[in-house]
Amino acid sequence: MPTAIPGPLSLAALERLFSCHVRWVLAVAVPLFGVLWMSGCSNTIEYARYPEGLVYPVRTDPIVPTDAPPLPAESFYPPGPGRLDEEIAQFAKAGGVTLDPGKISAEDRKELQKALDALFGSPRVPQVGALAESDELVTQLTALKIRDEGDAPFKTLAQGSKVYRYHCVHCHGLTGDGRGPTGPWVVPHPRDYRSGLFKFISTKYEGAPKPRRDDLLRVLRNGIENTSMPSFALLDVPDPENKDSNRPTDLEAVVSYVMHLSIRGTVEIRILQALDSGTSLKDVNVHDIMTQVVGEWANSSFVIQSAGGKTTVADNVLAPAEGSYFDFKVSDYKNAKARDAAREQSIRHGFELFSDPSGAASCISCHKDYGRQVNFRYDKWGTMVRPMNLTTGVYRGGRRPIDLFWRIKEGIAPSGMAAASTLTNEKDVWDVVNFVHCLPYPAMLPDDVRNKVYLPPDEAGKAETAEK
Amino acid sequence: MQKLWAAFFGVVLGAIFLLCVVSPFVGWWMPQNVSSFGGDVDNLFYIILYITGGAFVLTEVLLVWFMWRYARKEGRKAVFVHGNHRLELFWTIATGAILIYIAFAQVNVWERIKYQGLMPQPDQIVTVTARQWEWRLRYPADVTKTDAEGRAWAEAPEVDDVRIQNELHTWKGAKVRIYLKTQDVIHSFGLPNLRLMQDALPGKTIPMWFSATEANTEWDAINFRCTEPDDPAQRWEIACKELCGGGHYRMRGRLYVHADQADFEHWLHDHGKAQDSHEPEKIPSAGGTPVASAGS
Repeated sequence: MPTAIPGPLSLAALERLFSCHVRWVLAVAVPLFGVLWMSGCSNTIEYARYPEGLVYPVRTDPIVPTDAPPLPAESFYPPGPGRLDEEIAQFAKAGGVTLDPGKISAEDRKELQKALDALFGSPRVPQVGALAESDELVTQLTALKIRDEGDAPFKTLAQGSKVYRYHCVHCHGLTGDGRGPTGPWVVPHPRDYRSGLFKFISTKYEGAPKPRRDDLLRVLRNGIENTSMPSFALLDVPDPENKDSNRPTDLEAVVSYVMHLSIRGTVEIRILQALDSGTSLKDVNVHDIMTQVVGEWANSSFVIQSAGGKTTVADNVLAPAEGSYFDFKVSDYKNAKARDAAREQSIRHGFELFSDPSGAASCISCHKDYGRQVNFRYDKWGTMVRPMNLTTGVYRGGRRPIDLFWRIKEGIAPSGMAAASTLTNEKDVWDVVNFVHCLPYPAMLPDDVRNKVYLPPDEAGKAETAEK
Repeated sequence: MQKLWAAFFGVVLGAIFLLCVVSPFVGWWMPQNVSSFGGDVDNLFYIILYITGGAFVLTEVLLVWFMWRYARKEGRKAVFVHGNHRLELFWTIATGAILIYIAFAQVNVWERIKYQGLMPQPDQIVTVTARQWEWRLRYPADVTKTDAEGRAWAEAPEVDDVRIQNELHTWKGAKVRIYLKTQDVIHSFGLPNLRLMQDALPGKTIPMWFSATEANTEWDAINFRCTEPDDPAQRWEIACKELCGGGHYRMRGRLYVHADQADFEHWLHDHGKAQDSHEPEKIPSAGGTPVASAGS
């Protein structure tokens, strides 16, 4: 018989611990726990709302306000996943301007929090503006589908915030800052909506262009190939329980919510910039700034015309001039031979525009070796991007000819891709589109173009002389 | 007190058994089978379920009964048993025989579904590329390609391929050949309604095939979307069956089976045309009217 160890850890104490009562509790609790655990199994997703009392925190990370991002001093590679702050710090070192919102006084911060909360609500109850706003603002917000008609105007936003919380927040962050827990670990970094800058837009508006609603929807439906942004097209399927209601799909709702986050972030940046330049918070009219930002979104998407008491809304999409392109695939094109000849000619002209470094488009000076050479530069978020390798057949902004047209015609301003403003003739833009579209498929290129793109330089020269 | 444990085990194990018995009658069982070879897979499943289920009941009844019968009793001394050679010989040979039976019983089905040499010539080919966390599918504009052509095409995309995310479309009765790839980690392409599952391995292109026996959708060209079946059980899912990262739960897709080839080709053609668009089209939206009709 071993002697019992004195103290709380003795055998006797252990025996008491697992007394009859504990066993009974265990016997009941374990199956109960199992049943409760299984009760969560369901085919349909139940989105939960954000907790009460949660607010959008005022920004603390550096703002990158520069209009002309510097080029990296020497060949520089992004520091890699998980080091977003380091990347932005490098940006400042290379001569870029950043603004530290951490510098504002605690009092101002408190006031700013209050002012922003009053206009934009909380993650649980998001809003843009108050219930009662001027007619013009309400028209704009309704047309942007940020506001619903009727007495409860922010229902769509509330629905969107639930979807966002489930699918988006872990990368794009609570305030849309791209700094969610998984955000820093993916390259390229998730989009920071707060600057109001987006890459893949299609608007005629020339002020501070924002994406049209369709642009955001397209990205959500298709995802962005070769980045960590997947497709969310299945969220666009109508809810089987709410088939006949006017409720928007989850995808539509989350687009509205992203616009809300972006507007809030831009307003915040403009206030912080005003504070940085010495204005006191009392002199800043937060509501006016919001009206201005909403106006930019509205102008990018549509033109509101009022005539004779009637308001009409016209889409502000950038459409190609009529007859500026050939559709090479239409069957009623005169004949196959003429069609192929026209296509070859277009591709060849596009190739010349693309690859002449001193020419009108001179795409090759950034897309070095058709993008096969890595050529990093800063974008307007202070992070690094490289001109796309166009021989891989990956087009992040979409692969339709019209997508390529938008990219080439208007550029991708936030990432430093210039607009092809020197291509005054739209037919030239389409020629470049046709070349870029066929570039990844050597069989689609005319022989001489293919040799120049895909053969080593000395062999390409030989092939050319042989042809002659 | 010792008998309490016997009762506890008896109740919990009995509840598990009961749950399995009632599950098929309350809709907690397998999803609808729409595969040409799904019945064979289900038969194998049931054979194995009955064998393991029988063994489960037998062993658990013995366990509970022994716990109850031989619980500690004042004044009774335990007897030391060194084992029973004959009994052990019996259950080793019996389980061995069962395993050999299963091995032979399944091989025909396995060969029909997975042997590359025995896969039928495809009516339709598709490449499926998995990545964290979505399925990217590529359909050839010209549906009719032989397997040999398909294998070459799977490695060399063409300019007019139709690219779709997360939606696998086919038609009823078509013999579909899928070329499965992955861009990053190991994923698993799972189609519960087709009783089909295949791991996607980095660097490999893995062929798989199926044929769906029922349709669940129709192409609605006016709204530019496939009709959704009212019954949620008719919404057939594609699921990733390999834990592939933080977004694994979201790696879902849908299987749309059109009634006939004409409807499928109509769908494919319309998407090919949309993908070749030179005009900014209104993306058709499920959320009701486009922006232009708003305003007061």
